[in-house]
Amino acid sequence: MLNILVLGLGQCGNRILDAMNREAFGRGGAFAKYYTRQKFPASVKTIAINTAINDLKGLVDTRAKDRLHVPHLHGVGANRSIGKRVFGENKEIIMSEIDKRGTFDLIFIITSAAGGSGSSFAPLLVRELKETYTNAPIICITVLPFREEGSIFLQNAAFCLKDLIDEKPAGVLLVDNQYLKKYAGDIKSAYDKINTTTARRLLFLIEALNSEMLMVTDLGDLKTVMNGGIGIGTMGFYEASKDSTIKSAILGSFKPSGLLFPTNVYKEGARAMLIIKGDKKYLDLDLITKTIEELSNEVGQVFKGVLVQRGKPRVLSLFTLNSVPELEKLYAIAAEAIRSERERQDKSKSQLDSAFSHIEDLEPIY
Amino acid sequence: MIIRQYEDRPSTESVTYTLSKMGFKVFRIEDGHDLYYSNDARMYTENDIRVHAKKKFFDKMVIELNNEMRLIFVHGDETEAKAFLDNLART
Repeated sequence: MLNILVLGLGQCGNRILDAMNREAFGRGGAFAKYYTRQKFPASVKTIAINTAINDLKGLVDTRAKDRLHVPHLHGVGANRSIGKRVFGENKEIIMSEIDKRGTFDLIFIITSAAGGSGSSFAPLLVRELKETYTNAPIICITVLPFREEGSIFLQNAAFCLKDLIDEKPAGVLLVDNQYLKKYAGDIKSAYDKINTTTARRLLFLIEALNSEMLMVTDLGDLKTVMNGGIGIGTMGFYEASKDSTIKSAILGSFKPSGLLFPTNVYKEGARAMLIIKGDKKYLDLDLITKTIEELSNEVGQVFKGVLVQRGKPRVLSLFTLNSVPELEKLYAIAAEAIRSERERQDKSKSQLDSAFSHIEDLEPIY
Repeated sequence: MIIRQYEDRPSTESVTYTLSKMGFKVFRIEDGHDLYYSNDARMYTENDIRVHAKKKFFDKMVIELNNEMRLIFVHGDETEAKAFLDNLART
């Protein structure tokens, strides 16, 4: 059985982790965590790490022992410099808490690139984990912000992602809030849906990696996929209807509607892994093999895993990319936001200086 | 049953490993004694190795290797037999 560690950093990471824990409790309702055990598809250990205690308190389905508060008042206020310092000061606490969970075959770090705690902890944590757990690939699930969230968040996202890639984790899987906003009208239900979707896809992947499969793909294949291209990728998903063929289900998982990050897989894909689950009657292996051979011509190496499970076929695609034009756009917006923020700061400072200059050679008269 | 011809002879270990990855447990390995009639050679040849495996009570698979003709015989559910050959090719 695979030993997997899932770390949720910062508010966003905590909430996706909470959604994973909720899924693992099944349909037991709000009190399930008090009387049932989590049913993860593998040996999964989870820890929610945050500097803001209120965010940790807000988690519903994460057990108290799986919440780690890194003491620093009430969060780092989206300031990555403070976040990095706080991580340095509390590194031992964090690493010893992880160490208590044993050894791991695979580590997921879920974080927002835009916030304070998560975005500053993630790159440093990758460095520490790589030193301690040398054989476990580390995959970062990184959530990009809404573009209108403000210049600080955009700036954080730009620098966090760069720091993260510099640390060379096994791979970075992107989730784009801006792209997924289409899911729901209001912001709260959009967040809830994004968190649940991301959590379900991760659990789908974990279950497949830990199962005996009809057509086998494993952790080694996942590493190879994540090594492809520039090490950045995303996930797609498709659930087939009753009458659709397995081919349309496979191709459906590459469609923009199922992706977590906007990209053209056929143009930009480097390597891919497809995991297909469904009833045996839907699994035409010849058609699956043929479809994947066709895809390999366009996308590059495609690994396949087939799992016999009740229900209609569901396909998870996970791929790395050769280029990420959407990320270039994000960096252009972030750079513009940083420049205009600096101009505003300079202007305000010169205004304040000129206001103070009125009393420069004066003394108080009483 | 599915019959395929192979280039490189699969080892018993790789057959066992592939079966275990698919959730099958090997419970008997024996020297083969099934005869296979070859149209090319116009003769019967004896299969060399026979591997018996099962997953659930009724879910069984038997793999036979015929080294002389470079053939692999997979007895069992057709979907699983195809999947086995695909998985074996990757090991």
